[in-house]
Amino acid sequence: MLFSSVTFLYIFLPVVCALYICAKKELHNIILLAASLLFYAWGDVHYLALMLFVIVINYLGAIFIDKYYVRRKFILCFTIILNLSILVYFKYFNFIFENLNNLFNTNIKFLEIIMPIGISFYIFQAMSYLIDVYRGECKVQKDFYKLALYISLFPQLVAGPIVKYHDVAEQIEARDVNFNKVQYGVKRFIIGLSKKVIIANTLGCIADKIFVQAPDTFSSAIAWLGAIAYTFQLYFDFSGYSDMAIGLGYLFGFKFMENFNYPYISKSITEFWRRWHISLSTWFKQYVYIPLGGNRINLSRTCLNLGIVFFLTGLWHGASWNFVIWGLWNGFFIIFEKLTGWHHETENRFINIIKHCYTVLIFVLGWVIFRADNMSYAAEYLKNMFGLAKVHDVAFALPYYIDTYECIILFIAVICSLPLFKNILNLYEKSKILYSTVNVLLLCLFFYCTILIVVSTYNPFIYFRF
Amino acid sequence: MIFAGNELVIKPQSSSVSLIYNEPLNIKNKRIFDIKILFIILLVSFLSFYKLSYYLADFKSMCNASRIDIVFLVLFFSAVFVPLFSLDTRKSVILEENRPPEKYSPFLDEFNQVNFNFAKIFDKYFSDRFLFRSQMIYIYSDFRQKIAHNYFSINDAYINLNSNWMNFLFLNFPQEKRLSDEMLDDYLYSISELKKFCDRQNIKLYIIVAPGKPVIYSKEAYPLLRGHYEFEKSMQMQDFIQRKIGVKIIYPYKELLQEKITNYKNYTYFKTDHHWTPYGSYIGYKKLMEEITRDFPQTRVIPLTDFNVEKSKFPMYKNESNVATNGSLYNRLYLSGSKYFDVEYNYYINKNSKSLKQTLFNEAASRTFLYEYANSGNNLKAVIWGDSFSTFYFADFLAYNFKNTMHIEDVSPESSNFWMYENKIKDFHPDIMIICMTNSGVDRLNLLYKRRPF
Repeated sequence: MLFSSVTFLYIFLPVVCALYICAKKELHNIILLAASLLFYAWGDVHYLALMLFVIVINYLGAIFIDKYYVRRKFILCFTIILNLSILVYFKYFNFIFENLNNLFNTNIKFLEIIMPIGISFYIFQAMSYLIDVYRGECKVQKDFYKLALYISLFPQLVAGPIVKYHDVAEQIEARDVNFNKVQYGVKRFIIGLSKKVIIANTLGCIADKIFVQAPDTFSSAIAWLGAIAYTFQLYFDFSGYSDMAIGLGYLFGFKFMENFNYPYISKSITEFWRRWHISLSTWFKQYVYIPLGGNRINLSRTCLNLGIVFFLTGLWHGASWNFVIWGLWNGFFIIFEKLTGWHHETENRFINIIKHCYTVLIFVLGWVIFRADNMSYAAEYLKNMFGLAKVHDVAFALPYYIDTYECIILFIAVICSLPLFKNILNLYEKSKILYSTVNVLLLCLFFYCTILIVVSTYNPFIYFRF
Repeated sequence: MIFAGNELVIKPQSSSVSLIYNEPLNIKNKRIFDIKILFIILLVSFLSFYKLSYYLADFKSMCNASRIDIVFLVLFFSAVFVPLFSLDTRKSVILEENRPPEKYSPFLDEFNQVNFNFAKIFDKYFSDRFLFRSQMIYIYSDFRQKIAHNYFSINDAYINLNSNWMNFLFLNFPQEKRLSDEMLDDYLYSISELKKFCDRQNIKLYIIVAPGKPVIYSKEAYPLLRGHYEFEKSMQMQDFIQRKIGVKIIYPYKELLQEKITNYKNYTYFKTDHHWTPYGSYIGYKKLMEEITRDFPQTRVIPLTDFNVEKSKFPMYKNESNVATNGSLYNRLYLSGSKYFDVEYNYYINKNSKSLKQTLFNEAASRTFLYEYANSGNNLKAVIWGDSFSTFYFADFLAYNFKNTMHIEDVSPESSNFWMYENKIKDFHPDIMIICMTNSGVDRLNLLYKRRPF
């Protein structure tokens, strides 16, 4: 089930909210667990069993880690390997076969594996719980259904943020839902929904129209348009989903960590990664980078650790070399900044502008690699962006790719990616007129999102037949 | 017809009757007023409002919450609850999308087994019947049009606002400039199997491919600058098939383009629909018949002078009777208003149409039209098999050339298999088989006989 679907907005959410609010506090976790399992099963019921299996092995793993102190390291390693094996099988198996076939000229047949929704997220969450128990950062959860709730909680199951167990352990045990949380949660949810449906989906149409074509069939300007459209599509899609997850969390009394902090204003790639997908980068920092030694050993080891982390970050995003290369692309610039001190802050405005332009260029080019179907397409596309590709048959004029409405949305996207409205928040709470206006605007946005979601259900039968 | 008071009552004298309107009707439901229901609504509303106000007043004093936020939340939760209790169950057809709404499928089927597709089907069922769905899409379409400059698109269709020409966007269609070897192989296999079938049954095979609208009206198709490689790929495929198995594919591209240059006002494609007009299909018919008359001199190319001409601003779909609609693209764009119907199209009625006997059979995957024309001047039997381009008056011209014609219109050519029709065709014993399809943005000739699973 998607958050931006009529079934979720107009059946699932109101029913779950009504049950949650009307039920006793003791039943809240059970209701949420049932709702989460239904939410997941709605997408594909076959993989519900897999998620339950992951919950069981991590539940037992943590119990054994707590119980058998001497063997806890072995149990931790065994359970982590089991978790990773499941992830590798469903996400990377065919990728491994493809590379073996290419390297050794073998002809291993691919398996028909469909990747379960959200598997990367919930397996990482499960592993974070195990490691936290091992490190003594939190107590083992003896109630199976509470652990199941943590791993399967529907607000963040499908697209994050990756919630670490020690961040929510107390909230699972005891939390309250009050009026302020509900009103904040609803508003945050509407903002996230608007980001996703109004901005991301619209800009996605532009990017899709461009990226579906051969790179030598459009001009450099169109290539840049595609790259920029995708840059904003990805940010608003991802941050929109995170906002919706955080908003839904508030509705049920949970406070999740922020996942994005205006990453496109960064002045270095280092800063970018402190602002982009914060839950993933902190997960890798706490569970990979620091255990490898972090920056405590020496500079060359630090660079190696960073390389490993970004290699894994790229790989986590998808089973394809362009994701790995995207990860290494970011890792390379982080290492470069570490070695040169580029990421250190400066008061010089001119240098800050240069730094900002450099950062924008790096992440926009990185997103082209991320978006492309394969590396040869990415290379051709990047060449086109810098006027190095020979453009042949041009099939479409500029208005095909972007019309007036999409221009307006792109402009709004640029404005909304900046923290221009942050200072307005102080005024917002003090001024009744502003407060009312914002509330009315949010309701209008919600109504407009509903229209767009309904329009997206448009499903014509191409052949004339009643 | 009987006038009874203020009502007009029409009693047909036979069971198969059509009521034809020259222009689309706007039918409004009769409103019924019932005072008892009104009283109940007023009472329940008063009690609910009183209770709600009482609760909210208490709520405000207990939680010290802002009234603005209370109203905001009440409105939000009311909005999300309303559609749950107000499904639009009246619609039997979604005209703009050319399909019926999704049917409800229970979680447990009639054998008490779990229906694993329940979620997907329910999503479609609920979204097809969502309250005010059509109105929302119309509002959106109107809004996008108002702010559009030269061009406006919604989903997979677009309109050039300067000329009112409408087309499909090639979003999901193949983007390659040339057909791959694998695709050519599929074409070869499919057409070879068809030829083998015809040879076994001693049937002469003709294949005609109708070009897509953007290929002929490329300037009007702005911002598409070209017919999206369709012409190049068509020529590549035709040359390949001719070289490999000697089957000539008729492609009336030059003829249609020439007609557009010399006789622009006689449109060969509809503005608001993706099909060719009757005049466009006549151009295709003429080119096809020039080939057929070489092999079968007992037939001829029927000139346009043998037809009476009627004019209409609307595309007319062939059903049991001709039904005027707004056009497939107009519907897909959720447009409203008559300003888009600014040209007239010629419809040709054969002067001897009363001598043509016509029967229609509706099946799940196809429609079959059987024609019998005693004045054809020959004893030839022809089978026409194709997509909607064969139905758009193409088969109507051909029906007057042969004594017996069977026209099979396949509803979903991409997923059907020609072997399903083989027995029907064999039983008909035709002399001629005509395949008429378009390849505008879709590949179909390679799917008649499928080697790989699709």
